[in-house]
Amino acid sequence: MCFSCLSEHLAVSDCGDKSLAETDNEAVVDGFFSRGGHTNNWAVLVCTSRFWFNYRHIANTLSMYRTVKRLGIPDSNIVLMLADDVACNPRNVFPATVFNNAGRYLDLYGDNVEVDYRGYEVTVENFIRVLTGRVAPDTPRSKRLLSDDRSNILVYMTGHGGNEFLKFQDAEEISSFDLADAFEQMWEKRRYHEILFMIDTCQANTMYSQIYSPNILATGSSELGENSYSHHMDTDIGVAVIDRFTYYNLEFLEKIDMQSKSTLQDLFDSYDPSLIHSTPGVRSDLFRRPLDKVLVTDFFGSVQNVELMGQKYNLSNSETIIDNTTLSPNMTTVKEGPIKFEKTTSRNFHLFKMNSRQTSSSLPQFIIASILFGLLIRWVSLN
Amino acid sequence: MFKNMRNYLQSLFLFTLVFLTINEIIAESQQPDKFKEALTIKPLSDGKLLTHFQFSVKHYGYKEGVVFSHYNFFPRAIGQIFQTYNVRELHLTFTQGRWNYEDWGYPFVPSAGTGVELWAWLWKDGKLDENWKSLTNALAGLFCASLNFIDDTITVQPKLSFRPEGPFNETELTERAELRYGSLPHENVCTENLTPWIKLLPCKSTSGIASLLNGHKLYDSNFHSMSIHVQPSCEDPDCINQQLEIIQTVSTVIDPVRNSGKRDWSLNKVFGRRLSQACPLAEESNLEIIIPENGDYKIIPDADDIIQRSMGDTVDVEKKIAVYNLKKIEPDTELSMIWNEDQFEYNFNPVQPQIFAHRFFTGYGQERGGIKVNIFNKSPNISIPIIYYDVIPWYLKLYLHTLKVQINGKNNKLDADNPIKDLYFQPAVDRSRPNVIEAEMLLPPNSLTTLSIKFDKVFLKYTEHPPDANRGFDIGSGVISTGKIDDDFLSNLTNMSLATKKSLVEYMHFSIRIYTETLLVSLPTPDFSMPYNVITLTCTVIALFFGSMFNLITRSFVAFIDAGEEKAKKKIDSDESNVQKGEERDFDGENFDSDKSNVQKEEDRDFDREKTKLEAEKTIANN
Repeated sequence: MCFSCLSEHLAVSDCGDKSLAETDNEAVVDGFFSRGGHTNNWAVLVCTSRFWFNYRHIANTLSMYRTVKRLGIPDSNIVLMLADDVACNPRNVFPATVFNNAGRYLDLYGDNVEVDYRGYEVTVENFIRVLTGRVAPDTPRSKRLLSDDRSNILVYMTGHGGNEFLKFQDAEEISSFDLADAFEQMWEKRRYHEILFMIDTCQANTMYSQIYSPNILATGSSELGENSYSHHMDTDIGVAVIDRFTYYNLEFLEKIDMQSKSTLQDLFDSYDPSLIHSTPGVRSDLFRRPLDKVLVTDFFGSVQNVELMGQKYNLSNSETIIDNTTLSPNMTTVKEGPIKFEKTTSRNFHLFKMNSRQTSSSLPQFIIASILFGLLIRWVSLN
Repeated sequence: MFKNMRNYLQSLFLFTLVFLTINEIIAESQQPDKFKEALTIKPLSDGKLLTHFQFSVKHYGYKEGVVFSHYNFFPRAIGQIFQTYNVRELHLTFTQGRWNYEDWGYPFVPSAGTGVELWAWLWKDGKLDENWKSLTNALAGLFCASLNFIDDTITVQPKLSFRPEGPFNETELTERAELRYGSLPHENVCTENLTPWIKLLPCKSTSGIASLLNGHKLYDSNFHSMSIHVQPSCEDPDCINQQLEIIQTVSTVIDPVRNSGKRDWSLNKVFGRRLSQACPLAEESNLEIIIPENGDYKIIPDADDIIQRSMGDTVDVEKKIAVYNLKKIEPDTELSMIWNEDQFEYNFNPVQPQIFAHRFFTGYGQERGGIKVNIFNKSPNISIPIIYYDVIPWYLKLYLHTLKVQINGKNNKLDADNPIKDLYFQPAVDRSRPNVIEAEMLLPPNSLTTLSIKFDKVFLKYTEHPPDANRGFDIGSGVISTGKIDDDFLSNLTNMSLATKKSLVEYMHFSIRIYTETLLVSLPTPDFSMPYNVITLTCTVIALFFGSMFNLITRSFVAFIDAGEEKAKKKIDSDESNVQKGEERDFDGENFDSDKSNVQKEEDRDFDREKTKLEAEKTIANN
């Protein structure tokens, strides 16, 4: 039932309406508690690998970047860390592009990309500083994770790893203990509401084994002792372009739009070890909500205050709308919960919008009117 | 009642009227920002094509210390940074590739050193160095670059080079402002830097010449440079009223010959996009083609106007320029230049600029080396003053006494012939500041001047190496500042006798800068698995040495006595007391065992020790 902050409140107040059927009420209550409860979304996307032959790791991370951007998280809420620049690498035969498919359908780099940490800046220290918010006072806004206790955060990492560690730039490692402690510090500092931790590396599932803070859901590409494999290579680029786990995640995520009601359970069910060539893991013991109630867009998308409807909605004549029952079911603003509810709330929402617009435009109108009236009075008095 | 109402409304009307006039007065006193855009295209002598975008916004009524009350075309992101950190002038350039001075002449915008170069004049306000640090961080965030790596070890205060490009008063400048310079030669430049740069433009990339800025084509070039300059400029000749000007440029050198073997180009081929109409906000929107002096070619369509202007790239030579007014041009016009030739023939005798330079490393091995700079003066009969500026990181220890100057391969014996007129040298301090050489020189006509200096390479701590340590360390470009040689300068030069101590700087506006190559030095890299080796070795040593030593110290060694005959023999000889002692011991031991069945190991050991002690006493007594 969450289409916006505003309509959310309205929905809550409507729950107390006695005239509604009991079953509807239950569904509403159920829908209310299974809702994310977050008000903003953040993403920390990290590629820890340097060097040209690790092209696929940068492509992995940029694919995730494109996906979360497409699903509504703005650049200001994405902290993107890329340990190397493959787009403008002299070895790249397609300058200023990064592709995640040999078909080269989509240029991941595009014309609008903001890399917040790049090259030598991608270090374990900086990563932990970003997560915990313990950055230098001069750090610009784009390099900070300004989340709060209502933030859902997607943390995606890819690179070369091993049993309970992930290498950064072939020079240092972050251990699963470091990561777990960083998340705990985030929890203590009320820096998140829920975290989805996703990692694509060898023996990835060991990386989330030490996490002990609440509301963290984790998924990884491979078990202890298993490698994580690349999917395919592009013969023109000359290196592998994407990893299997990320590839099949994207295959699922590509079918999703902002209004999608797919849940994380659907995503996790889509993992096929025979295709991924390793055993993906999910750790949900720290997570409170049942996975089949958690929308994919709770982490990969953004909380939206406005959603577009498929149909024109006549605002000028509100009385007819109440009578018009055929219009309401076509509205696409519903996310969860019964449709009956949604009729009233969404109408209220739009009426409110309309009213607010009126008040905002009335001030200049008033001034103009007063000037004209003043002129009139003056003209009358002069006569 | 009605009268009151009328009075009230009348006063309201008057109030509104006054309010509106005041608004109008304010609006009139502050001229709106002016935005100009221009694209200059120049076929170069080696078949390549230089394209140069320039966008400038002038903000009127700029006064130092007065906070921007309103942002029109001037980008707010820059304006806020500029004011927060008390900046007087700001110059930031992102470059990749090397500008080939010999074939291409001087670039339109002086900064061309590979990597990122940032220099700024900041007002002295007691926290200038903090401001500089914050400025680098803020720009790093804005332009997605690692500018925050410009720390104390890289920051320099040039003494002679990098004078302000806007108007300045020498005394005011030295008293109230300071210069900071930092460069990152290894910094990549890619779409993520261009994206925020384009967002500063009033029309973004939606219309005007900015719509041609296509990252995919821009970064597929031999050379590209993107810059942003914020500087005051004068509104009137006396410079009472000032404007704040922001100039954004992008220069690229592409090679049409690479694909077709011919020099022909069209806008669509070069940028992969078609020209849309001028940015509606622009006061002036022009496309200019610098017409080559010779060759058989045609430009389609015909230009609106052909003007003659000096471009400042060589000695005052006026060039013919075809100008297209984009305000009048039809949308989707395809501009192209076609040469009447089957294949491009490389020009082996390009018109070289007067001054150009090359810099390289000398020596071999990982212990020591040297830097050599060859500076050419191609002018047949004029001695040209220059300022040579070089920043060498602290991990190369320069020796000033090894600085040598040669002219045309000959050492100069006489002081009067020494081309170095003034030398400023800052020795490096480990981990806190770099070496700086600034030399004011007078290059004799048609000469090759060689500067050389030797250095030792420093052993870095292993944590000081970057993740890709074996790649080596980049050393930023050396910079040669020189100026246009005009009649004014020549008359000054003839009047000036070299005996007078007056500095050359005063006679010349050093507006041209020549950047040398960046260098890559490989420092001795440690074996990065060394700490692991150290740990394993140390642990082995400790285990072997400490273990045995501990045993030696804590244990006492006792001669082994065979219980059989020795005991029997000694039992006969021993007196009663000794026997009693032994019995006591035995008794004690039994007691202990029976009392505490769950004795701890440590206690056991203590007990053992006691036992040995007693035994020892016994033997001593026995003996």
